[in-house]
Amino acid sequence: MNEYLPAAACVSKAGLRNLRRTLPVLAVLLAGCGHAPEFNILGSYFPAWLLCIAAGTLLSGLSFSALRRAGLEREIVASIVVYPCLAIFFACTLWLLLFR
Amino acid sequence: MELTPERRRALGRSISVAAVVGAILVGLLSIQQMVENPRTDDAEVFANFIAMAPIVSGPVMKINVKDNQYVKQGQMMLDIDERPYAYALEQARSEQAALEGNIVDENRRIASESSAVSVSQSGVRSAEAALAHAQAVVAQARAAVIGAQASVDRARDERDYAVHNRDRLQPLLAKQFVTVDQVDRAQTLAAAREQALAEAQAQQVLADAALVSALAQQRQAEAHLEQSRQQVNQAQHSVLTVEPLVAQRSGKLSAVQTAEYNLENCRLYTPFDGRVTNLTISEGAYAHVGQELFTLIDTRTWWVLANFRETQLHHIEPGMKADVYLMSHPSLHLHGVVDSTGFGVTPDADLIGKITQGLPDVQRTLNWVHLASRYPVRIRILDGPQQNFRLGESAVVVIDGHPGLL
Repeated sequence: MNEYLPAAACVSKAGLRNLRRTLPVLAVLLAGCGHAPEFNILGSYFPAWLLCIAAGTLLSGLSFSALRRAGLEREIVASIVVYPCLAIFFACTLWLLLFR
Repeated sequence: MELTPERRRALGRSISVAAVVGAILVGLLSIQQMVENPRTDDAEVFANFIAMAPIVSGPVMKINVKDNQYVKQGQMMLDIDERPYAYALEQARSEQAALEGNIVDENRRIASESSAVSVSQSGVRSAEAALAHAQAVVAQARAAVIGAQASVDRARDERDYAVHNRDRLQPLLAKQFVTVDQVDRAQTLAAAREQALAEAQAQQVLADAALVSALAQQRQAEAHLEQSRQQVNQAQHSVLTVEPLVAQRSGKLSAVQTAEYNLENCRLYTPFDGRVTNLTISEGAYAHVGQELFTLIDTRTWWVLANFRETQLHHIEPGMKADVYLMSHPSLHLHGVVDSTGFGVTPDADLIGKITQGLPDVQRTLNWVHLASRYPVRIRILDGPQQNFRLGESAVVVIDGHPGLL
């Protein structure tokens, strides 16, 4: 069972902080790791993309508050497009990294 | 860290652009991944399974397996009452032995009939000898007839001579040239020669009669010979053959073999390594021929049956590798290989209507949006705990299609 480590164990914190830079490293790290792209919640299987969208939305909210703290929130152009795009970016990136 | 308003504006703008471009980029990558590596969570673990049914019927005497038990190939699982089948085998064997005895008897009878033929053939030879004898007798009689004829001729000549002599002497008696005695002798001689002629003629008649009789005997001998020949034919035709009995041999042998087969099949053996399922009977249950007693799952090969949309099927080819996840062990990453893709599913009754006899039953309602048909794809699982898979487990399958950008 040792060769089937859960995917989460392979994802370092540094990797999560700067996804784009560490992407090739992560891809190597993730090789051989795997978790079913479904999650069991009380006997119901939820697809991974649903959880990725939820996480993306959450991360998008976190980026909003981070930008606000940095004082850059007012400088974002067309925020109605940018935040959904951030959500999509985070969701897709997570999905590509963890469940590709 | 202090930023000038221009720099802040530029930073904000670049973050905005980066977010939109990044979203489009990873979105496209995700779509490419989805297309190149088709995946489905509509999949189940599957194995072939058979209905264990007996070949003979009878009460179950012993059950050596339990429900859900793992069994190895060749293991004795079930025992049906053997006695009637043992008796049937014994009967078939005795019938076979009786046939062999009949064949021996028949061979003896045929030998006796063959000797009868020899006997009648010797009868023919004896009739032939009798005919030759009769022919000799006829020849003898013909010679006797010729001899009798000659005797008659000679007797007639002698009589004529004697009569002439008497007639010559009688006139001489009156003139006393001859004596009375001489005349008497001539008369007596003539009478005697007359008698001798009559006797020779009688002998000739007798010889003729003997010839007729010899000819009749010859014809009788010929008839007897013909009869003997016919008897030989008859005897030859009446010799029986042993073929009808010999032809029964294979029938009796197959009866014995059938009985042996039935007796052997009173015991049910495991045809392959597998798992017993749905065993709900106990000893004493009556097993009917061909009727399922329980199910045996073939655990030698496990598959995942994954349903893929028709639009995904051209990205899937037999021989492709696949990642398989079982929901019972979500962190267990199994490897599989695509065996084959399905080529038929039941047509949708709502779409093309029911397939019935008579006229086609076509629906009047139409849908604007149609759903893609899905076909089962058979993926063979290569690793993992093959004995512990369960038929019908939920599974997720990701096909390793052509490598994408990532």
